[in-house]
Amino acid sequence: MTILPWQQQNWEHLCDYKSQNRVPQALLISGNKGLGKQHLANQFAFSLLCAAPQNNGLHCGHCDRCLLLNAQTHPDFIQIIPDEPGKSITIGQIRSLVTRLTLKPQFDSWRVVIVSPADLMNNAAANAFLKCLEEPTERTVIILITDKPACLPATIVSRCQKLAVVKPDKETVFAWLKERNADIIHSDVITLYGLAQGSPLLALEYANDGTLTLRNDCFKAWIDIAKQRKHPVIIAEDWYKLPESPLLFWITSWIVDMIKCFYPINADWLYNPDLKESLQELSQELELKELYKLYDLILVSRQRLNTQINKQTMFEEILIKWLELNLGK
Amino acid sequence: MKFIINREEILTPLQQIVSVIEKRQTMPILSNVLIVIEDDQLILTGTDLEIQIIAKIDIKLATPGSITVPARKFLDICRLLPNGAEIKFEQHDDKVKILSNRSRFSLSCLPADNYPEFSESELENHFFINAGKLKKALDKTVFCMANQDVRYYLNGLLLNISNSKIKLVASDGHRLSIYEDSLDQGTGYEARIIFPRKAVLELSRLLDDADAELKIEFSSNNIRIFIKNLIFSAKLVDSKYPDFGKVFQQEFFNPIHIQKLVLKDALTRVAILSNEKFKGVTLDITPDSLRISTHNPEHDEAEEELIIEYAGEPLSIAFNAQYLLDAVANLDSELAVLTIASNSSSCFIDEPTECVYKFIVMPMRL
Repeated sequence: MTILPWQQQNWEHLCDYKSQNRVPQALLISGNKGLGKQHLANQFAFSLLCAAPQNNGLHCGHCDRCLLLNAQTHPDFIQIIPDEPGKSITIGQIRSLVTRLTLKPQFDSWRVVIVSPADLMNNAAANAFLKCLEEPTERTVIILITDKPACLPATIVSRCQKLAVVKPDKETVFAWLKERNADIIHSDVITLYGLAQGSPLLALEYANDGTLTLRNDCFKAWIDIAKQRKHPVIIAEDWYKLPESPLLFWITSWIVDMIKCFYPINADWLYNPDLKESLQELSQELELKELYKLYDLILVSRQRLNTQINKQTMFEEILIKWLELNLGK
Repeated sequence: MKFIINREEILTPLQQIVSVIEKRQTMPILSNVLIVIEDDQLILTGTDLEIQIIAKIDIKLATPGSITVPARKFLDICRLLPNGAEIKFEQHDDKVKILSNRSRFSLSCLPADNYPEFSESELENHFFINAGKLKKALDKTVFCMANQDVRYYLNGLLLNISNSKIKLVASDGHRLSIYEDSLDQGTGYEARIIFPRKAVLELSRLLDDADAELKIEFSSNNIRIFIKNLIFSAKLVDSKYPDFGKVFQQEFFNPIHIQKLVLKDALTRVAILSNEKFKGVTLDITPDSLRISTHNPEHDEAEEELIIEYAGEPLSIAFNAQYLLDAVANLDSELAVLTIASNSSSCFIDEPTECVYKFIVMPMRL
């Protein structure tokens, strides 16, 4: 029941909407993964629905409405998420939402709909939503949450007020992470900050689920291929079972860092400050031009992630290319 | 919480409540029925978030409390116990025990605090009406309501109160029916609300006792109807009903008088050979005679001639036979009066003497 420290400004903005009685009919909250957009949206929804919000705008947590909210049975709080993780939000879901919104809200305060992640609405769903999004029935707020605002159709974006949650500065994240996880050591915090691209919640998640170990193992395999101690096909077979999106980001970050290592550089500017020495060592052996070619391949692969690509072959392609790069010197 | 009740006392209210509870639910708690004991009354509540039914049963020697139990399971248990069985209901923490003779059941339940009941606040407007009167009004209009139309305000029934007059209107865009009646007491206000389709159909099912006096309360959000020991609530449709008043402000041809039964039989016969989907029939009207004819894509043809009372120019117009039949079937008089607009844009069907019921059909282009 608190506001995350880096969202204070966003929160005040939302509270101003409320106090000035200018709550928009549709709100698009965007920002990188792991910045707590869902949390912000929930707090705003709860505060709109609560019968007696506190002075700072937060919900009280003990009125009848809050009890319903906590039990997830509040009739005027509707969440639209994909039926299965990773699948799209279908036109059927949107149509039944639209039908539901034609009736009046149950209680005399607001009704809040949260669509998350909004970029997973397929084309048909987004088009079916337009009319409702533009002019929902009275006392209704539709909140869209996305970390890829560019994937949303322009017709959806133009109907929403926008609210961007921005990356907090390093000190805030470090302090917050240490508060949440007292055992964490400072050097890990710096690495996690780089890995999570500055998103505190993502960094915390990485800290708690041992992602750091996994990433170190992957980096070892990456070096092993370069030194021809392991075969890329065998590694690809292990890798395609791992969560592919973070893995691909790690590979990208290594390549980017290696490119940076061609120039005299401060460790703070790297994604992987802890791996600086190994990366520098690797980069000395490589051709910059070839490295850029690999980088291009990774970018293409990242775009292909959401398609039906065979992940094992994708990793084989990347790793074989990486091996060739090291052989070609 | 603890109470003992006879099977016959709880069974009917429970069945009425379960009828609104949908089988597929978005929230698990909605498949439960809320059971509250308060002031020597057993209060059962069921809702699907669109409509809600509350049943109140007087009960003695009960310990107060509140809990929700799975509605269908509870109903099935009560239903399948022998006639006249005494049912003992006891709550133990998060379980409910149901005992009767030698049967014992234990149901898992959810806390009553989490149940999304409609709020109980006072609603602004109210009036009283006889159940039989309302039922008749509903019967004469509900069949015209649209079903899943994108113009969502048509998926409902307009209820218009202006002082002591009550008017119900339903339309699906092709036809419209209006029923007017008067209330025993003036209400002193003017209000228009749209009652959603599902609620209308459910309410119509609950009005089986024609003599009951109903108290109807409504605000701009909700409507609440007190039917004997039941309280029926529904959310209203959030929109304005389209303005249909213009349809009356136009020129008409002279009215046509036809025997209702004769017209009905003839239409039914001719409609056999009409296009199955659109049911189009052509009416050729000349002074004192009406020819109904149709044909379908298989080149079958039907034709019938009736005697009518009409003085005026001959005219020809086509309609969906089913719409005409629905209208004619709802007339109480022997004689049907058809009045066609002079630009052939609509046809009014009503009774020669009392004008409480009006039905408007749009013509077809054949």
